[in-house]
Amino acid sequence: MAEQPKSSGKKKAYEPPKLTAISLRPEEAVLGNCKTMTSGGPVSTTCASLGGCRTIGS
Amino acid sequence: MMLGETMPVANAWPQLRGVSPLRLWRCCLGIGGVSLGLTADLDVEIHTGPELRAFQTEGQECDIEMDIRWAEQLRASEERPLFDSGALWKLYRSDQGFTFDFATPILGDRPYKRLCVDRSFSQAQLFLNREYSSELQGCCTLEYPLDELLVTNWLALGRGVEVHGCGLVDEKAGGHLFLGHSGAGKSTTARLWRSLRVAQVLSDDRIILRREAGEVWMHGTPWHGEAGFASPDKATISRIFVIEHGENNEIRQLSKSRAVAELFARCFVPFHGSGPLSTTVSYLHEIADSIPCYLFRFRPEADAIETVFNFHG
Repeated sequence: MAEQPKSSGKKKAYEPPKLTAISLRPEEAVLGNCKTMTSGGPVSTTCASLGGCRTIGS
Repeated sequence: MMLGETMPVANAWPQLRGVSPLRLWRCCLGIGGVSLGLTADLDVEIHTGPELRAFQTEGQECDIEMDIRWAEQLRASEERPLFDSGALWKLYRSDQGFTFDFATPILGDRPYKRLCVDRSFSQAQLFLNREYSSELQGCCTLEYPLDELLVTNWLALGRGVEVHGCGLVDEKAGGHLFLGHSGAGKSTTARLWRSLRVAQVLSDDRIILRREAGEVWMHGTPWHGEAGFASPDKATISRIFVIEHGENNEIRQLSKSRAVAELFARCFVPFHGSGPLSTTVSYLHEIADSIPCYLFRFRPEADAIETVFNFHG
């Protein structure tokens, strides 16, 4: 029967898992709102009345 | 059903495929290494907007091919949407793939445009509602967020990911990516860096990440932020910083798992299916495996740039 290899180092101390809350910004992530209120970009240059920059989302 | 009649969402395509009007207008764009070909009917007045001019390319067959044409009327769908953005657009499943309806209370319940795409997001048809032809006149045909939705959905099939960030290339320090939510300081970082260092800013708001030949590249996009930086160039990345405002300048290394979570919180991914979500998370894992990621709390002043420049991890 093969001999089991012996562990040379000390057993690592148990560290309980940690939970970290990462904040999401759904209103930005879904590309539903305007990017900026004032600048251009394919955002609202000539057709601000359509997309409607009512909410800044990203 | 002919082109001039009302189209239900689920079968918008088959009836229109037989129609082959004269084609007058053709334009190709390259955004984040994704080529987008636009072909329009003779009577469609196309505007791509000044920001997309720098992204126009020569091309024959593109990764995403989009036909643009008028529909005499588009009716709001009574089906349950697959995803509701809560703002301009809703997504529906269709026989061929997906349908995005764009509507705004300013015009009423009916969609002012409808985007039909296949499952691979490589073939698309954009229908403009002729009922709103006067309101649509002069509008950018790819008006945000249509272009970005197309590209992010195409990328999410294992081809890349778009992130909320400022990407810049310092002449000495190389490529740096600063990720942040709105108001975190991306445009401020771009302005400061440009005023204090010799650097090219690829974008101050949206960066596309893609793996090419074993390396992660960041691409500029037309979807700029307050500082207005939008370049079609690309660069490799030395370091990624998740930025937040702080009382002092402080850099902390992020664990891999934390880095993936922070990257995910600042990326643009389709939420309508588990497939694209899972693929994107795997993609972000690969990025966090190959590039060191840090949390950077900073004061929006010149010494913030020095802190990053002098930091060697």
